[in-house]
Amino acid sequence: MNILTKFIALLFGFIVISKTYTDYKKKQESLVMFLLWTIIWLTIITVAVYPIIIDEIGNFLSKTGSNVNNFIGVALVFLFFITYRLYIKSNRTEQKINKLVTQIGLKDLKRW
Amino acid sequence: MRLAIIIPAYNEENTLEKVILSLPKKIKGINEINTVVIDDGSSDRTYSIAKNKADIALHHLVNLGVGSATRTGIEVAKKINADIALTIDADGQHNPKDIPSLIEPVLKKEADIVIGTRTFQAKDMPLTRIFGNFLMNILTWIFYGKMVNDSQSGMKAFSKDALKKISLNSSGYEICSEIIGEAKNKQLKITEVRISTIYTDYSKKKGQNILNSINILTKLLLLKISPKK
Repeated sequence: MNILTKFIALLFGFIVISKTYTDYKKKQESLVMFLLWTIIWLTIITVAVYPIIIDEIGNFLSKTGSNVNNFIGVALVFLFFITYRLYIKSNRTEQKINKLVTQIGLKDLKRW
Repeated sequence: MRLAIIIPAYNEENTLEKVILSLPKKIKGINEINTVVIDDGSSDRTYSIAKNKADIALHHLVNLGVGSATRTGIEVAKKINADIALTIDADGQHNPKDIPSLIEPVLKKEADIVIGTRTFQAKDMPLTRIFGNFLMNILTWIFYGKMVNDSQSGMKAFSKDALKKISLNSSGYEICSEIIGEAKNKQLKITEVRISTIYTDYSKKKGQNILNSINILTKLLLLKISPKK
C-alpha cells in the first residue's frame, strides 16, 4: 500500500510537472505558474515518499495546542472551496462560449 | 403549418446527404417543410454538404456538443416561426418514414412534446448499450420525476408552445433528459410514439454506451446544482 501511494504520487507528479513545463515552453503558461505547480507537486511527492513529515507536522502542531486532524480538516475545506470556485468559473466560461458560438452561428440565418 | 426538421451534425459527411435527401417532401397537414442543419464544428465536409442540401445550414465555430447544436436548432425554429420542430439524428439511425406519425399528436394538439421511442432488441444492439439506455431512463426519472421508455431518443417533435416555453442549458447528450425535465416543469404534455431504428455498424458506433451514462450522470448532477439562467 505504501509503495502504491508513492508510485501514484510520483506518476501524477511527473505528469503534472511535465505538462506544466511543456505549456511553459509553448508560452501557454507563465514562469510563475510553472514554478508554483512544480513546487506544489514536489511537496506532494516528498510527503508521499517521506510520510514521516506528516508525523513531524503533527508533533509540531500538538506543541502549539493544535492537532493534525484540524490541519487536515482545514486543508480539505480549502481544497473543496478551490474545486467549487473552479467549477463555477469553468461553468460560466462554458456558458459564455456556448452563447458566443450560437450567436455567431445564428448570424448566418439573416442571409436566409 | 410550418415544420422545421432540425439535424444536429458533427462529422457526419458519410450519412448527412442521405439523411437530408430521405426526408419527406410532403406531409399531410403541413404546408412547408424546412430542413435545418446545425454543423457543430465539424472538421470534415459536413458543413459544405449541409449548405448544398439543406434549406438552412448554420455552423458552430467550435464543437460544443449535440445539446448546443440542438439548442441552436430550436432557436432557428423559433426565428423562422415554425409551428412544429422535429429533431432527427444525422447518423441515419432514424427512419424518416416515422416523421408523420411523430408529428401527428402535435398536429392534433394532443401533445406538446413527442418522443420517438426506439425498440431495443438484443439481436441488434449490444447488451451494454441496452442497459445504458435503461440506466438513463432511471436517472431521468430520479432527476426529473418523469419515467419514459426512451429518454435518450434523438427523434423528438415539439409544438410551438413547447419551443417557446422550454429553456435549455445542456451542451451534450444530457439535453435529452433536460428536455423531459423542462416539459414536466412547464407542464407540457409528453407522449411517446414507437419508431423503427436503422441499425448499421456506423450508427451503432455513434450511439450511446454505458460509459456515456456515467458522463451524462455527472453532467446532470452539475446541471441540477447550477443556477438556472
